Amino acid sequence: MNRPAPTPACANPSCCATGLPVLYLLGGSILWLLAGLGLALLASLKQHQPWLLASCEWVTYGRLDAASRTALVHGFFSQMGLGLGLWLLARTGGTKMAAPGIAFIAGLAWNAVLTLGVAGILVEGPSGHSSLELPGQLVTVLTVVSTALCLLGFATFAKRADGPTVPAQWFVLAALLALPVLMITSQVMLSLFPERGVLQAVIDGWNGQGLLLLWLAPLALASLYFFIPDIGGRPLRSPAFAKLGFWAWVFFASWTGASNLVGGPVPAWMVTVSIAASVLLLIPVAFISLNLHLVAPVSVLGRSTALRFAALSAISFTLVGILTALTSPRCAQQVLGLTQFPVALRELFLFGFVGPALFAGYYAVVPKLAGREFPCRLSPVAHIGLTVIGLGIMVLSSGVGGWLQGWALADGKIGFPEVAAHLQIWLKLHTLGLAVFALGQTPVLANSAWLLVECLLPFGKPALALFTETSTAGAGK
Amino acid sequence: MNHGPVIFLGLVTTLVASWTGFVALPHRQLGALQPDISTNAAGAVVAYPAVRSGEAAQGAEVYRSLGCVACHTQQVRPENGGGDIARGWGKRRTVARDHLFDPTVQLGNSRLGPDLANYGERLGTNSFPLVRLYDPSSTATHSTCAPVPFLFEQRPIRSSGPSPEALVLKGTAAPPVGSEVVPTLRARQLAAYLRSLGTSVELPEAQLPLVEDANAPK
Repeated sequence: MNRPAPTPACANPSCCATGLPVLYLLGGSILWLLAGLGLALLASLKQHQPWLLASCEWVTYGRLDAASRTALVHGFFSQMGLGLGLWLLARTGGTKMAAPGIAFIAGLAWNAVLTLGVAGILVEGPSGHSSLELPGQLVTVLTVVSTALCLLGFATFAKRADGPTVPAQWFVLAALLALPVLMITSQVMLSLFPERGVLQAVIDGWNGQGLLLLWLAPLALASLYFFIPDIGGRPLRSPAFAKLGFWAWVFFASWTGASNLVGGPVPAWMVTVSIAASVLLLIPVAFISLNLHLVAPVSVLGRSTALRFAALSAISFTLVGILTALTSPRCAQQVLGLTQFPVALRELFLFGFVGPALFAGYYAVVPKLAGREFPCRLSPVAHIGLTVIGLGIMVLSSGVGGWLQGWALADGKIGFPEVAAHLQIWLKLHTLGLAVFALGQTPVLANSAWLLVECLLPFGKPALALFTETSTAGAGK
Repeated sequence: MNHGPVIFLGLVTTLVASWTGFVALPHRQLGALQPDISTNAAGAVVAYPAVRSGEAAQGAEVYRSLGCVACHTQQVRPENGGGDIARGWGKRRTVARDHLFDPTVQLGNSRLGPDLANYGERLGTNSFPLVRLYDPSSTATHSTCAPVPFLFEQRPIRSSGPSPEALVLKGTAAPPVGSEVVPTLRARQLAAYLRSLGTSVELPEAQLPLVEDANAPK
């Protein structure tokens, strides 16, 4: 990283107030990333090695699958996105975060609830609703905590200095508004007063799409909209495109709720509307992509780790937008729905677009808040390199495997055991990709832990000195 | 777009519209769905779907808690929507009414395993082979279904003789001499639930296909 050294944390009072809760959320999310990937790796292994740890009920495939998705979505993506979102609101508003103490406590509660929740999934089993697998009582606490954090975001936005707002702020606001609506609705209608029959699946689908497209995607886009121009040193090409892209994204994304229910026992109009919205999402994808890609030409990518992650994210965003639009229509979903193909798109979206966008923010923000650069310069290179290789193998194996699986399933003459047998090799490749990807995330943990130790050393030295003095004094007696 | 309130109002409107479309309207459309009442061939009044009772209802909880939904769907898609019906997974498409009384609706979104919407019907009059839960590869070679041996108990054969419920196991899966493997209550509940899965009932919104006359000219 050849950027000028960041100013020390305490030179800027806004950093001290904002720093601790944000660093806490970012650090916690890295731990969840590793935990979630560990669970996902075990689940992926069990897809083709069913006898692995079979006698242990806690690690049945269904439970591991639910636990890993929960750990990754609520532990890593949501938490890191929230930390960055709150930082962005303070930074772009030229102010301090509102009530950082409450934010810190809410962060602690978030992690405590999630730890209990993931343990609960492994011990008691998932809720059965794929967008919210946590036990019901814990969801209540998580809803309260996340709503509190979102309100803090609004309070920070309200304190901003006068002046025009920027796209990053719009996207963070959209996310902070969407999360409580999704959480409260799904909590009330799936857990407290469960809807009857397939309405559960409808709300589950709407909540699931909402978490991806209205919560995580806006946070990731906010990060890209802020850091690409900020680090790349060029302003956004077109503010008008940014506005159009934002409103079109929010509008179309909010109508994709039933796109995973093609052919399912739900009202047909919902599926039709969702397919139309999924295809029309190409419009905001085009506006946003043009704006982002034009700002960051390849020549500036060498400048920083953050920019390289942002570029990976922007490319994946465009790719996943186009692939989703192409495979959303009914004729494609009849073949590709309910196979591993949607898994590939989901992984490209989460690990290719959202994850790298958040890591772009992570590599840019953490040195600012900690007041020093990441100690190891090779680690980010390994991180992005293994991320790209692992992600490539994962997405290709799920995508091609799912494609073949879909066509085989559509042909009623091919027996199911044969379909399953042909899928094996792709599931094994997927495990390999996931293992490489997971390995690629360990450098960031090591680097961050090293940075933490370096930051704590100045506090540690006096304590250590005190300890040695006492012990030598004790020995002298 | 420099005004916070404008952005805020725009976002709230969008979210309210989405909520109306995907939560309120479906609720209005399906929230009052009732079972279908019809008279069967014997002249008795029957309601479909029936509420699952006893072991089968408890088995639905076991199915949920083991996360079976991760690999098994319970939805037969329409004839023009894939090969579900040709594959013999059901005689008609699944409709909303089929899942009316499921405490947790498990439509599923992945078919690593076969669809189970009509699993009980596929068994016919046979009882559910419990050995399939203990060792799925015993009945379907190369099956990657997760075995659930923890729903079974391996115990010494009692002096009164082997249990009538003991599994017949061969090869490496067989217990040591003098021991037997018997299902626990949860295994029996899960089996009762799987046995209860079936949707081949004619409904106004989903007709069963006419039974083809074998002698009809083609």
